Amino acid sequence: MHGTYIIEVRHKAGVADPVGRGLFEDLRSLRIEGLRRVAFSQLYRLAGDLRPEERARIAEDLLVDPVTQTFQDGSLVPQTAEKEKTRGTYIVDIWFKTGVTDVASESVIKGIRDLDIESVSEVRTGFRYRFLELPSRQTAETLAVTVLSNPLVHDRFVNRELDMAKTFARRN
Amino acid sequence: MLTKDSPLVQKIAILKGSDSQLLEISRKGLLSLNLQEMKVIQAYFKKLGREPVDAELETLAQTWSEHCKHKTFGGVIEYEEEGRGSRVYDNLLKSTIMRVTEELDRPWCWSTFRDNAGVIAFDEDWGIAFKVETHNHPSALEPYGGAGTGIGGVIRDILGVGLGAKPVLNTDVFAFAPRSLSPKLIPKGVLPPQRIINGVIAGVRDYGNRMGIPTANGAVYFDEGYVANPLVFCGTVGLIPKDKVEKSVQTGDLVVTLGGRTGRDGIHGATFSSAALEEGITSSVVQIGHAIMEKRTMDVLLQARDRGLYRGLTDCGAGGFSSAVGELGAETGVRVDLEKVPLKYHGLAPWEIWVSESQERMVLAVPPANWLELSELCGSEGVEATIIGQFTNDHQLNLRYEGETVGLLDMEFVHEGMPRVHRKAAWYHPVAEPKSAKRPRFQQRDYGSTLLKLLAHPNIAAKKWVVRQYDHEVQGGSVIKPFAGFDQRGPNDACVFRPRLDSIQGVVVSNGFNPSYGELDPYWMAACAIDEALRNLVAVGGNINHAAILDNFCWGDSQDPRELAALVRACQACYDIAKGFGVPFISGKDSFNNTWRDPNGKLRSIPRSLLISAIGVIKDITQTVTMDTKQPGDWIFLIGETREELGGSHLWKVLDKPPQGTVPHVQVAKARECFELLHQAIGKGFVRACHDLSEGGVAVAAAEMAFGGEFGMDLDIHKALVPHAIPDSALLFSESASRFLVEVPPMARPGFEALLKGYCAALGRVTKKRTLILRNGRTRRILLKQPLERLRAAWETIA
Repeated sequence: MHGTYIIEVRHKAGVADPVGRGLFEDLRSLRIEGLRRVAFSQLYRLAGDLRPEERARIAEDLLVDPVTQTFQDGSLVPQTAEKEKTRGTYIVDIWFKTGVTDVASESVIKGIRDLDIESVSEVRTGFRYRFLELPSRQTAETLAVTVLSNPLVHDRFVNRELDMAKTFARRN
Repeated sequence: MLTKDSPLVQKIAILKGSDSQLLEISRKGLLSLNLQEMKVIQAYFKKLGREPVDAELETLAQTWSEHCKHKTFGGVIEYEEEGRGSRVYDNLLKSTIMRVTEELDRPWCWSTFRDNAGVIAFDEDWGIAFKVETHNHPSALEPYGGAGTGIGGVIRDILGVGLGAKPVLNTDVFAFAPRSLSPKLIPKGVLPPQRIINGVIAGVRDYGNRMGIPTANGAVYFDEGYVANPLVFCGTVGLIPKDKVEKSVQTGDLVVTLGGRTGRDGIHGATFSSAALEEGITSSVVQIGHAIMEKRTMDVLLQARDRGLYRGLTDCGAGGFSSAVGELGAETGVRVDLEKVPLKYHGLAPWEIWVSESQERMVLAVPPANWLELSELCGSEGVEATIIGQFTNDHQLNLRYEGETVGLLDMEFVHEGMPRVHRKAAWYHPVAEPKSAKRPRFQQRDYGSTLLKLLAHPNIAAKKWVVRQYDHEVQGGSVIKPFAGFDQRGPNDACVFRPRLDSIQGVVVSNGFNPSYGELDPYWMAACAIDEALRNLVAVGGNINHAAILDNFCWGDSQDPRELAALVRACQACYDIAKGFGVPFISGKDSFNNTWRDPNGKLRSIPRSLLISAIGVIKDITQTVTMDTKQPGDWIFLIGETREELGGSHLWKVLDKPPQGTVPHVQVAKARECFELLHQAIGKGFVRACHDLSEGGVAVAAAEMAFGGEFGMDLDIHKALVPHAIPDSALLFSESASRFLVEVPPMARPGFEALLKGYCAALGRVTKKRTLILRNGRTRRILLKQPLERLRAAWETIA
């Protein structure tokens, strides 16, 4: 069925996450109250007629290092999530804006074609940062703008983990 | 004839435009054309009896941009200097920098100032091409993408020189604001230094490493003046067969685009890079590079070159097809069918296709008979090649889209029609006259702590966290790499590599950059940059008699008479000093209007910055030396005179005081002879280690040599050659030019001293004890005594 699907590739539990760790170290100087950990994952947004088993094959055979990584299919972030002011785990997704060259996506499309899956019309790549935990949404927004993205070339989306979990549950 | 009322084009009404309307058209269209240029365009179209269309105005804006045409350098400058009268420079570039090359007329300079890079002879059959570019404004806005496409662009310059050179080395020099800069000093809308630094370093790293090209030479410099406008210099060296240095285009040749597809990325990059950085920039000016695509393009090109499948080529850089195709067809004329250009996505207007600066694209002039073979070759490597037009003989630029003419200009007007700028430059000496400088006052115990502070200063410290991110081993030709000595602890002065692994001949690449002198005296700043680049080259064994240099000016507001006067002085120094050394310029690039608004809204210029990059051929790579001490008991000689020249020095920076005093001067005749003699000494095997003296003077150089080799030194700095008596602080930290510290084995001392008689003084010896001792032999007092571990720890501070 035609649709837009997001595949999140993240490190398996217990496997080192150098990007998340590095960002956490960089943020120490900001002394953000309560921040305990940052986890990083890679996002792939696929557009096309893709069955669940095809998406799983793309993830397993192309996007994931099976030794260190795992994936989640369909974790589409709601872009109109309710504003939250309370403490919690916040997720910041960063995507290239439309029209900005996304080099990795070109390689992914080629890889998908090499898997004999022809029904993908577009791929975009992005980054997901999961902050455990932040005092408020505003802190997450500030980090998204000042540290994680460049408004000139990136779109950013900030959500609470709880919202995402609920939305994800509703969708499934 | 232009197709009438085509929906594909937009007419721009300028024929009846007033001055203010013309300027508004330029401003709104991001054309960066000044009033004089708009009026010349208006007059041209009045003669044609019609309004211009978008593609035509865009073509002129790109071709006439400061980035492409070097308006300031090529203009007429009336220079006036306080107390010394005036002089008119009719084309500053030709009358200073290019004049050196013309007057020296070196037979081994095969191509200078007329192609994408300069080319000098490596041996009888091969040449070495070298080009350094800047990518400042894009890197300020999107550091990763901007810097990555900076190195990608200069690699394409090398691929596009002559019929194509194989890239064999990358260089990079960056200038940033310090990471510790207070947020209050960061203007609104500007990325914090930390993000710019990390992004730029990663962008150049990812592109260069993925292309499989070693990066073994460079520098990182910090100054608050680069807060909104970092400098990103990227250079590439290429190897080219002698019979491929010339290119041509003939009528009937096909215009072929090869490599990446075209999108909206980078539109207005050339005109944008010629303007001041203000808020409100659109994302369309940003390019993101694709190193793997460029690697494939490179692989195809070099094969096609060797098979003789094309007659001419150039890269698509600033201005996109408008500059690349326009340049190739300048002498013939060209017709381009824009609908044939492969696009990344639909919806681009013809003018957008024409000026897009999408990366990884090359343009070739291909004889029709060769097309099939070229097409098959490209297909075999997965590289897209497309015929988009043909070179004609009508001396016109004819742009078509699906049969309709969407732009028609005379080539002569495109390339010769631009009016020359006339500007005034006025130089008056700085208010704080250097001679009135107060000497820094030291207690004896301060010398050691000052040295530690100097070693930890970001401009002197190791910066291994940056350098180690770059692959300096790939291709297997690296001989002298960024670090040397015990556990790779010391900083080398230059890199040496073998572009041909079947030859013992090598190439040495070095650079000189000292913006801190520019505020006090741009003339001596430029002189010192040349001296430093050549000094570094000689320090590893290079020969200035087979060396060439490149200039990269990054300047502030070129319409400000004082800034322009500073530029004139720097250019005049380039002529005087390069001519004095007998070293020609072979290529260069300028970047003006590096200005920004500070948090108070005041327009600020970056520090006056001139990067000099030097390249030379070494006959035998076994006759090179590194900077680390090698053997206890060896003598340490100081070559060159030390004067009290602390103006703009790093001593003032660590003392947190204004950069007062006399900027180091270059006594070029003496320096040239000294450099030649030192080269001979290294060739004769008299020298075991050699290190140039720059930031921080003797003390810093001695410390670096000592911890580099893990052997101490005991030196009497009062044995240094001094024309006049100077205080201990100057002997230790003065940055006088043209000096080296040299390690000489005892057996070689007589020969070394005889050869460098009058230029050298033995200060002391290398010691087994891991301590650096610098003493005043006259008073028998130890000025400084520091264990090597402490010195190294300071130097390896991550700033």
